[in-house]
Amino acid sequence: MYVIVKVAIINNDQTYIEKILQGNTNAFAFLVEKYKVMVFSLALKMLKNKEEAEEVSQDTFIKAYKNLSKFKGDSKFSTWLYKIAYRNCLDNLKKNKERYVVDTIDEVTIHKISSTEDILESISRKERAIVIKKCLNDLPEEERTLLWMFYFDELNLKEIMEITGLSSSNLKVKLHRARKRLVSVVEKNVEPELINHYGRK
Amino acid sequence: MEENKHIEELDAFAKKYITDIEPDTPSIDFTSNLMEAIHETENASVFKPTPLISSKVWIVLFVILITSIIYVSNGESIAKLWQFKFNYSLNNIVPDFLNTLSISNIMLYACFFFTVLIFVQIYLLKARFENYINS
Repeated sequence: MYVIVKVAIINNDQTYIEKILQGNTNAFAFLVEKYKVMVFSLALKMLKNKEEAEEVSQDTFIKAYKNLSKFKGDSKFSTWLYKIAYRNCLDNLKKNKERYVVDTIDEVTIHKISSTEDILESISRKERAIVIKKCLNDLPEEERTLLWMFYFDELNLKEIMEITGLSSSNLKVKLHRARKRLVSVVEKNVEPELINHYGRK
Repeated sequence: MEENKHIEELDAFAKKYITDIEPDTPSIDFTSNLMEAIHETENASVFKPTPLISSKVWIVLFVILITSIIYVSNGESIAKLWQFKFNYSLNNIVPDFLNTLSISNIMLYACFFFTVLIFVQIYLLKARFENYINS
């Protein structure tokens, strides 16, 4: 059932791409509507600036439109679009010469994971999402992006490799390091957050 | 075994909490602004600019210029050009011209570096414009 739905989505994209290539420019609006949140979220995760993210997202769609004839359908349209967005964000970061100071990761034991989870479970889902979003933003850009692609956008390793150009082993190492750093950052941030919120301890 | 459990715990933690985050949405008029920009680029690409002076005209102008320089440097009036008396060959003119040419070393070095810098500038400007167009 899942496979049928997935094939239908891909075919749907392909139908619109063919319409655009035949000269129906307005058909592109369907693809923009469908993927704008995905592209914008990635840009915002990478750039951490709403205006820049919107500008880069717009540029991504324009580039995709101009190069649509080069899309051969070897990969999913979303992966192809994601790749353009990722490169655009990297170019933007290079232009702004943004550098992140990367902290060392503290030892993350199973006990630490479960105690951090306990604290997170004690707050509401909405507050938890805010805390995690803030902690995610505290991670280095590459780790934050990889976690976002893998967990939020549910891209598989092969797709992320295609987008980022990383090797399989390198990607796995970076993802593992990113998960560890996330737990470490959440643990450091979550307690002061709770103290501020509830005014106890 | 312990290491695998550790990886699984980290994976479960990230999966559980990252999916809780609400996705960020662009501004309401994102699609309309974008489609407007796309329509603008479409209209811009319909008009293909052509140079005011074509390459053929440039070649003809260049030939006329060179012919005039050669003719005048031979001591003839440009008005006589229309009498079509081209009774000399290029081989006779160039050695004479080079024999009478005197140029100082400083001038020679200046010309040399000027030429080199022009070529460097062409390369740099080309790279800059290509970068600008592709970005």
